[in-house]
Parts: sequence; structure tokens; C-alpha cells
Amino acid sequence: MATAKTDKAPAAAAAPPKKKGGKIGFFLIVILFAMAAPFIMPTLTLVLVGIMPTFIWLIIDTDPQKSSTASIGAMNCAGLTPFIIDLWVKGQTMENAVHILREPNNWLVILGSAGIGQLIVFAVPPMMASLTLNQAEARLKILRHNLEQLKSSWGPDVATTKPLDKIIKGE
Amino acid sequence: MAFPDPKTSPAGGIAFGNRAEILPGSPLPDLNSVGGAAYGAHIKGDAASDVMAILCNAGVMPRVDAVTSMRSVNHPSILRLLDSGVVHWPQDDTHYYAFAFQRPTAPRMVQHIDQPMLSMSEDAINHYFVFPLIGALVELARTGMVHNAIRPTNIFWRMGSATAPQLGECMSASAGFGQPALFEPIERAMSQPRGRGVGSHLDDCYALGVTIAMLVLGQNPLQGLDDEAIVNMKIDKGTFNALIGNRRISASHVELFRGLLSDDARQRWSPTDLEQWTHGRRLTPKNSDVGRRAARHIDFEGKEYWQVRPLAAAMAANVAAAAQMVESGGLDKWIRRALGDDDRAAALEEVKTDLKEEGGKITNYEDQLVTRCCIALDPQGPIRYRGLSLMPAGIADMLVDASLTGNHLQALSEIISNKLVTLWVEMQKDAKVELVPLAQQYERMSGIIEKSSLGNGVERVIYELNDGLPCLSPFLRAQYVMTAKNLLPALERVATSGNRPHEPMDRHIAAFLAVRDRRSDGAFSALSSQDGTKRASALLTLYSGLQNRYGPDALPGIGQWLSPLLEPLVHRFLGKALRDKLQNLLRETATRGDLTALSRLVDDPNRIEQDQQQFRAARMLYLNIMKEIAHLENKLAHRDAVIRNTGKPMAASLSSYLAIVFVMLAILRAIWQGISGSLMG
Repeated sequence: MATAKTDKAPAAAAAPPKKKGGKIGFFLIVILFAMAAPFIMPTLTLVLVGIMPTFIWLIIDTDPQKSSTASIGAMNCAGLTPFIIDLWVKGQTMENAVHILREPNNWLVILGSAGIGQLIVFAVPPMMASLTLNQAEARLKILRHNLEQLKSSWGPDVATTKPLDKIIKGE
Repeated sequence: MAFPDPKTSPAGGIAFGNRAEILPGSPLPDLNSVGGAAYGAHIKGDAASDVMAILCNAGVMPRVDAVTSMRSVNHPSILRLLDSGVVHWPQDDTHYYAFAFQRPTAPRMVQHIDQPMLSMSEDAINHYFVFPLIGALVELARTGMVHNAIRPTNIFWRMGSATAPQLGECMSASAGFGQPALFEPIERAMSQPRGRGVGSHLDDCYALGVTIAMLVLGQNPLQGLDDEAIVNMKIDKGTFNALIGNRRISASHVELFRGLLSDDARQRWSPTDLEQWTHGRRLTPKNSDVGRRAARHIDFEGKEYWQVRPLAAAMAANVAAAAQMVESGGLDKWIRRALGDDDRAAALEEVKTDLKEEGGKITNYEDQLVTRCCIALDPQGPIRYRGLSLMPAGIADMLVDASLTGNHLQALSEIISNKLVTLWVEMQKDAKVELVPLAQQYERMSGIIEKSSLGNGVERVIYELNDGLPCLSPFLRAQYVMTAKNLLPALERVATSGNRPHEPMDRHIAAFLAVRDRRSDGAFSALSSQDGTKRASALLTLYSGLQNRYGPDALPGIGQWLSPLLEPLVHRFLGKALRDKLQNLLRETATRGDLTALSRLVDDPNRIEQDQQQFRAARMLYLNIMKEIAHLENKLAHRDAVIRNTGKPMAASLSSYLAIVFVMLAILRAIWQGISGSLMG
């Protein structure tokens, strides 16, 4: 037992500290929503149904940083925003909310915006990587040229850690 | 810069010294000297001057250190030294030392010492020959000049004439070199001709005594005998008896010869005594124990010896047997019992004990033992060591000869390092105080000779002991360099001759500069280094200092000679551009012959430090670039990571910005609809 305890101790020390504030915030939001639910139920229903694509992507996204989920989620939310405003303008009732959800064009806008987010996730990272790597290659070329210049100016010993007196003596 | 040809006058004379000119086309074979050939000469601005020049080309070192004394000698019975200096001899393109003397007014007294002489009356001899020469000796003693070359063949006198005789020159060869053993006191006669050194005025008195004796007797009384036989006869009988014997001569001459030919220098007449004799004062020579005979002989190598002097000479000639005799105690017994000389026996015992107490491994033990015993037996005699026989004053000249020929150099070094001169001085009785400076000088030399670094060793001892000696470096011998000032011009001539060695430096040049230019050991320690850069740097510093002090301003030959040696100094610089620039400047400055500028160019410590600092900075930069390259290569090798770490966050950011824009548009649309609905309503 003692051995097991001592084995676990370093592992625990090595593990990154968990974000306690994140969990607390999440629970606070849930409590807040639960308390506000009787007053904003239509809005809540519209949002929960409208951001379904984001929830689905959140489940299938294996990236720990969840960058793709953030992209799709942002666009999904942007697509949903006009309808939430409409709901608030027309009156926050379950009837209006269901009416909005039953309109196919509205779904086209909501899902289309999420699709744009998806498109960004597919297109932008490779484009950015190509750009970055091209820059790196260009920089690499310049650096290698600089190395050659240093060698031609100071001799091959500039690349070594040989003591100066030995270089001077030609050893 | 090309050096001018030797100064040649319209009359064909070659200038030397301050104002003398030698005439190569006017040889005077009758006046040739031991040290070299005689030529006609004249003094500039004095066309009527009757001058002869002696060109010292016989391979013997002239007595340059005695020039000042000789110049002050002014007596009608001594050939006057008018001028001296180095002369460039065009026939063999070599520099020699030359002396300009007053030309003798008469021929040589005799051509060789065995030549019969004119019979003259006692008064004539005294009046026309002896008195003037006594005056000459008094003048020599006044000026401190020892002649060491008084003999009938070096006296210019028409026998029987009323004109005063003239002593010939004594400067062209080392003291005593050309002097036959007949005219030297026993101890000097037992030395090798080059190992006699400068003697004393008493030696001149002795030589004058022998010369007068020959004139009085009308011939050489020891005619036909070789030097060894003459010395043995002098030891055996004493000089007076060997020369005069039972021959009939006047009482005043007997007295003169007893005074002059005394074998004990302490009893011999001095120039002052001679002067008193000319004024009629009578001096009685005292008895001496120089030729003391033992009550019974000692057998050594099949011969019987009755006196210590011949025994010492025989012991030196047969070291192994002599060492055995000493070790067995036979010699000690003979000295105590047969010779009855307890002092000498004690001295012998002392040298034996001292040698054994030195401890450690004594090199050439038997040689040293016998030499020390010989000194104890015959203190006035020469130092006899490993085939050498020399007076302490002759070591200096022997070293020069040894350095030129390569013979006996080791033995001479051992004489100095084993402090045999100190022992010799300690063994002297009456003259000990006068010889203390000599002992001190050789004590100092024994320290110098042990050091092997450049600027020390036996070479330095040679220059320390020979004041007027030119630099004996093999490639400077033909240049006759006598002062540090003349070294660079001579090296420049060697450099331009095309026959130059690898480096313009050797042990002789270093020793010469150490002594003549009084340079400290530190100036030469770097020259002994195995590190080529250190050696080249030290060489340049040394020569640039000489050029700075003595000139000439341009030494292109030496510059180009040094140039390849200085290449390693340029290679100390690490920056290639700086190195290339310095190499170009080095060639240019070397061609100009400015050694000081060369030194500043390649040996500037600020420039070296700056170059090394820049190299360190370049090395740091190289390291940083290498790190960045590694980082970039790693990035290129992991495209997925770039997408994940850079692309996806970028996509998220882009989506977020777009979403914000869309939300803002939706809000604006709602506001617009609200405003337009109100207006419609």
C-alpha cells in the first residue's frame, strides 16, 4: 500500500492542475439558467435546439483545444442570433419559438451559418499552415546563407567550441 | 635600399676609420705582420703622410679592445697607431679590420730570429738600442698598454745606426699569438700561442731582455731548438743560465739580464726598475724558488722529474697515469719528503678534497683532478685541461678560436663552468688581490655558460670576455659587425645577397646583442620559444627597436626576409577579411623596409583583442542561427502540428470575427425594422 501511495504521489504532482474555476462557472451558468428558465423558456428552447450542430461537433471533436468546435459554434450562434431577436421582438412565447423552429428557411440559415463555420474549419488551417511553412522555408534559406557567410568570414572554427588559443595555434 | 659601394678615393684608396685610406694596389710584403698583410696607405688631407696599413685578414682576431690605449702611446721608439676601423676589401668582398700605422723609418732588425746580428760595443748597444727601448717600455707602462710582441723580427732598426729603433705593431693579432716561446716567460711559453692572453708589462720586460741578450751575444743562443726544448731548457736551467750561461758579457749587462730574465715575475725588473737602471742605480735581483729542485726525483711514465713544473706538464699530458699517482698518494709523499714543500702538499690535498666534496657525478673526474693538481703544483703555470694549456687571460681568445674552428669548445666551457679560473686565482700568492676581478668575472661567466637560452651560453661568454670582437655569426663573418648599430645594415647586405639562412637570428647574434646592446634576458627568452609566432614576434620587436634607435629608415631586404616568418602572426587574426588586408599590408610594408610599421601592423594588442571579441560575437550568432534553423526544420517536418497549433486557432478566430459581424448585422437589422415599423405606424 505504501508503495502504491508513493507511486501515485509523483504522478499527481506531474499532472497539470485542474481548472476549478471552469467547473464552478459552468455550474453557476446552469443554476442561473435553471433559475431563469420559467422566464426565458422560449429563448432557451430556441437556443438549445438551434445550437444542436455545435453540440454534435463538440461530441465528435477530438482536438483538446476544441478549436473546430469554437469555429462552428461561433458561426452557429451568429446564425441563430436574428431569430432570437425576432423572438424577443414578437414576444417571448413558446408559440413563437415553435413557430420559428418550424420554419425550414430558418433552419437553412441556422444550419448554413454552422456550415460556413465548418467550411472555415476545413479551409483555413491548411491554408495557414502552407503560408507559415512557406515563410519558414524562406527564413531557413536566409539563415543557411548567413551561416555560410559567417563561415567564409571567420573560417570553419566559428562553428566549433574550440578554445581560441588552439585555433590561433592551428591545432 | 641599395647600400653604397665602399668609399673609394680617386687614387684607388679605400677609406676606413676616421680618415685613413688603404691602397690595395700598393702591397708592402716586407712589412707584413702576424695578423695580416701590409699595404700602402695615407691619411686624408695629408698627401705627404707616410703610412702603412695592416689588413687583418690572417684569421686572427686583432686587439681592437686595446686601440684606445695604443692611440695614446706617443714615443719615437714605437710605431704610432694613427687610425683603425673596418674596411671593405673588394678583392674577396669581405670586411676586415685594418690599422693605419706610421710607416717604419728602417727595415726590420732581422728577418728571422736565427739570423746573426752585427757585433756592437756595449756603449753603442746601450745608447742606441737599449735606452730608447726602455723609454718605449716606460711609455707603454704609462698608457697601460702591454705590447706582447717585442722581438728582433718586430723591431725596425738599421743595426749600428744612431737612429732609435722602433717597436713594430702589436695590434693585428691577439696578444702573444705570434711571439716565439723564446721571448715569453716560462708560464706563458708553456701555454698555447692563442691561450696566452694579454700579459703584463713584466712580460714585455722579459721579451726585451731576450732581445737585448741576442743583440749582445750577436746571435740566438738557443738557435735550432724547438719551442718545447726551449721551455724545458728554461725550466731546467732558468732563463738567464739557458741564454747567457757562461758567455762573457759586461757586468752591467749581467745585472740587466738577471733583472729582466728572472723566471719569477715578482723578482723581474719592471719598466720603472729599468728606468732607474739607466740612471745608474743598481738593483740586485733576489733569489727565487721557481726552479726549486727536489732532493730526489719522482718517476712518472718512465721519466725522472726533479722539479714540479715539468712534472705538472707531464701529468697533464698523461691524465690516467697522473690521476693514479695522485690517488695513490705518491705525489703527496714526494712533495712533502723530497721537495720539502708542505704548503704545496697542503694545497694539493685541498684541491683533492674540494673536488670530492663537490658530490654528485663529476664529469671528466680524472681530467678535473689532474688539472686541479697541476694548478696546485705549478700555480703560476697555465691551466692544463683536456689537451689545452692556457693562461686565464687567454681563455677569451681561445674561445674565439674554438668558436670559429669548433675545436676545444666543450673543454673551454668546462674550464669556465668548473670554476678552474677561480681555483687558479686562489692558488696565486702575491698577485692574488690584483686577480680578484678576474676571478669574479669568471664566476659570473660560469653562471652564464650554464644557461642554454638564446642570448646566453658559451656564445655570450665569448662576447663578454672579448670587448672588440665582431659578431661571429656564420653569415655575418664577412661583414665584420662590431656594434649593434652596424648589425642591421650588415643583415640588410646579407638579405640582398640572395644567400641568406631561414631566419636572421642565431645564437651568436643573440649573444652579441645581449652584450653589445645590453639587452636583458627577457628580450631573448621569447626567441628561444618553439612557438613560431612568439619567435617571429620577438624577432620583429628586437629588430624594430634597433631600427628605431640606430636606423636606417628603410631595410627592405630584412623586411622581405622577415615577411614569411611573420605570416604566422597574421594567421593569429581570425577574421578572414582582416587577415587578407593585413597580408597585403604586410607585403607592402615589408617591401618598404619599415620594421617599426611591420611591428605595429602584426603585433598590435588592441587589434588582436578586437578581432577576438568579434570572433566570439560571430560564434554566438552562429549558435543562435543554428538553434533557429533547428526550430524551423522541426516545424517543416511536422505540418500537422502547424495546422493544429496555428491553423485551427486562426480558423476559430476568423469564425469568431465573422460571427461578431453577423450578430452586429442582425442587431442593426432588428433596430432598422423597429425604427421603420414605428415610422410606418
